[in-house]
Amino acid sequence: MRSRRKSRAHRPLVRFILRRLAAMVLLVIGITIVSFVLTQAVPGDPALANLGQNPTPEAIQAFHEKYGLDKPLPTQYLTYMGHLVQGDLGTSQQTHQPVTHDLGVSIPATAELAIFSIVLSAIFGVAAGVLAALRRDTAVDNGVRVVTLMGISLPMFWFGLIALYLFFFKWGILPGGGRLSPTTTPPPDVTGLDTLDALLAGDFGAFWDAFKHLIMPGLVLTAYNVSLIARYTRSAVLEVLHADYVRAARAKGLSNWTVVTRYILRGALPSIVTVMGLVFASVLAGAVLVENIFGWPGIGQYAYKSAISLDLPAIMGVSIFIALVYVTINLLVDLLYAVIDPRVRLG
Amino acid sequence: MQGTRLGKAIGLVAVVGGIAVAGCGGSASTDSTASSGGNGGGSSNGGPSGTLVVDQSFVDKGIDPGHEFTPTNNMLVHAMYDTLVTFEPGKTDPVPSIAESWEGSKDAKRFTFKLRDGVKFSDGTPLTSADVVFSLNRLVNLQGSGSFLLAGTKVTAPDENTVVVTSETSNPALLRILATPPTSILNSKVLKAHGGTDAKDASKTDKAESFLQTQSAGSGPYVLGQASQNQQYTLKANPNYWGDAKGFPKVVVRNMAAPTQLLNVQRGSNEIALDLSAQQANSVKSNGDLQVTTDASVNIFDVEANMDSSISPTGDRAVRDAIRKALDYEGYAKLSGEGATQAPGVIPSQFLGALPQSDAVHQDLEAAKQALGGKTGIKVKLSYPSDATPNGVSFASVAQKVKSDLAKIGIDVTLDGSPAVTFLKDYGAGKNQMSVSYWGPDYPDPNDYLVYAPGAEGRASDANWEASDAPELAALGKKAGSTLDDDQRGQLFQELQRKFNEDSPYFPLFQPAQAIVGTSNLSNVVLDPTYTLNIPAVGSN
Repeated sequence: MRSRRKSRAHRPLVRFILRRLAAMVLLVIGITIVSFVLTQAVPGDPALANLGQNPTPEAIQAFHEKYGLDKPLPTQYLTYMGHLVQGDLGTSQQTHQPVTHDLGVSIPATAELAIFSIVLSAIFGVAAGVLAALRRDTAVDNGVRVVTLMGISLPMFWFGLIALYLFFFKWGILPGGGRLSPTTTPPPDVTGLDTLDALLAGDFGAFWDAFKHLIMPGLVLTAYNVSLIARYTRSAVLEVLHADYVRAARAKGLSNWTVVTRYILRGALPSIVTVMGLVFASVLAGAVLVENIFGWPGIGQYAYKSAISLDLPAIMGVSIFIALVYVTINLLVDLLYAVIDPRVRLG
Repeated sequence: MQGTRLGKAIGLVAVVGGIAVAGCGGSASTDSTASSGGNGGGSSNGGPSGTLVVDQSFVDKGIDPGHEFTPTNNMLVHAMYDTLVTFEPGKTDPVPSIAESWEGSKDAKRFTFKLRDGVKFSDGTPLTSADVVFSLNRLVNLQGSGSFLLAGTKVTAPDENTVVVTSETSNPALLRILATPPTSILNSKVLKAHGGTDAKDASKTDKAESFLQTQSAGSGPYVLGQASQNQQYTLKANPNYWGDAKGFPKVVVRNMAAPTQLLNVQRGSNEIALDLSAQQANSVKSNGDLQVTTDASVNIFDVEANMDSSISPTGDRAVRDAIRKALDYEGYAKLSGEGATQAPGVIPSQFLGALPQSDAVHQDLEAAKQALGGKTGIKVKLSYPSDATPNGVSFASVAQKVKSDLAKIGIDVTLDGSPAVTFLKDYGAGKNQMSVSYWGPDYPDPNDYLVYAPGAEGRASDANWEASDAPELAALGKKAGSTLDDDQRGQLFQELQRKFNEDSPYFPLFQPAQAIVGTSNLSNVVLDPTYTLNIPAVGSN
């Protein structure tokens, strides 16, 4: 009896997740259509973009045949979708490698950067935001405001170059670009995350090298996000700071730490979770610039090169990946709302 | 006909120039992660030791010689594979490589090569004429970027040590073509074992490209250690190399943006930066730890006019004359900085057949106005790729200067910038009224510039310049391209360009500056017209 009641209680959540997953499939189909149509709408020939200015007619024909560009557009699209359901994203026209292979290389590189940045952003952003709210209109609050304003306003490209100049060139305390030093032997590829792969291989020298390479691009990406989270957190904490339940908690004589962590922060969490979703988006957007400055071979560089060479299979692959990331993040945020706030009902 | 031209410039968009945040000193790092590694000292056998690090903004289409034809890939392939003949660093005269000698027929249609004894691939397999035939046929039949190089040729092997390359037409450029990286010789047994083929339908059936991205199959001084496309390549010395290896035992070639290259080269110990603008390179000229060279590149920026009167007012010779006289040629070279030079003709100064500076056209606004003969209200659209900055020069800045120059004689120019992929489509179809364009050599020979002759596929067809428009020039081009004696050939190409400067769709502007910066302990840090950098030749002082 109890288990039946329990399963009924979980049914709305399951239905919610299933509905969102179904929507995800529709969204992916929509993304493929939009990407396909927009790429076709650009007046350019991928053969010219990839073979050069004046390729021979034979080379153009061979290129068109190889990538199916000689077929009618609906046929091209349906062929692509037919391959997609089998997990085949086609072959990149710029790298001549399967797009799944290219994504398999570039996604872990960006993921390593993104995880590093998001974890740091969450820890320091929330801490700074709470502190600024609790010390409202003091020197601490003003200091956080100035620093976060700088973090949001500084162009990432410029900030990256300055960081390189100071930490690499001037002081020599961090390495320059790339994921590993030229003298370091890359660890065996297991996850694609060099730091993790080095640990799995027990190669602590490679781990330390990979970690040091991660610090500077990671911090440059973090600068914007930590500021964003701090500002949102401050506003959210200020909103609940004088709520009745917080006053009641204080009146009960609970310690300041308990009040902050179990009452104030919990009340502010929905807003913080929302901004965390936005941070994921800004990490992907910022990766294009940061990866370029630091020679980081991630999804940002891959997307950029695909776009300028009209590499349709690669553009489609990147679009689908980013769409899936967004949808998954939104789903997680919605689920977290329900976990954080029992008043939120899913389904 | 494909590789090094504007299409390649698309990839150079990623080269971010102009931000020289460095320039002041800094002590060398003792941290291996903050330097290139290696100490640059001599090894026990007298060669350099450590790791050579080369930074470049990659245009990376992979390292299968049959498919690649970009500066990045040419440089890498040249380090791992041999060709029948080769070039010394920075030079353009063929010298022996796999072929120890050769003989050309009087009509330049047949070249016979004698292969060197004792050449082995990196796996120890002897290199034979069958490997040469396989590699060159595969290049042609793959129909990739470099296939046009050997179009119309037939390759045979009368015996194990002899190769004969026969061309349908007289081709005095063939020797220089056979020194380019796409014509590299591959280990045919290894290739076939991994799906490679030289069959006529190789463009559909060859499956070896992915294999060659993970493992090299050549006989050059280096073998592929590790490859991460668009990121980094590691080369290691080939233990079975037949020649006298003078280079570093390990070479790392990394994809880096120009501003990062500028910082890296100042921190490194065996480091070379290939994509600095002239301004960036000059900012470190006073640094005694570096060697800096800024020289005119072999690429040429030009303006091209459409010869079809129904498409463009430049179809009128008077308008072309006026434009030719109105352009401030000296000013364009300054856009690129120290090292850039005016281009007197379409062939760069480093090659056979180049025009001397005394033949350069100069601005004469009064003569330009006279050439117009009182015509007014001339409007022309100038197209250019807005997202490319080859050699650190943006097409937009060149286009703006053209607009400013032509305004002085009353020609109203509308700027029409578009992404390179879009620009190329209309440009290749001959639809642009006038274009700012850019041309780099596929191989260092004047015959590569026959595409400019009226009626030719390529530059001439892009400008709708038919052979019937200038039959005497078409004939002169044909004669120049088939003349065997290099001195005569050079003179004929000069004559052709002088005629171009009298009237043609082309207005050559400048050879942009190209910089190469390396740490001062390195030798042979030279920009190479064919390989960009001759990696195996880079040693330690």
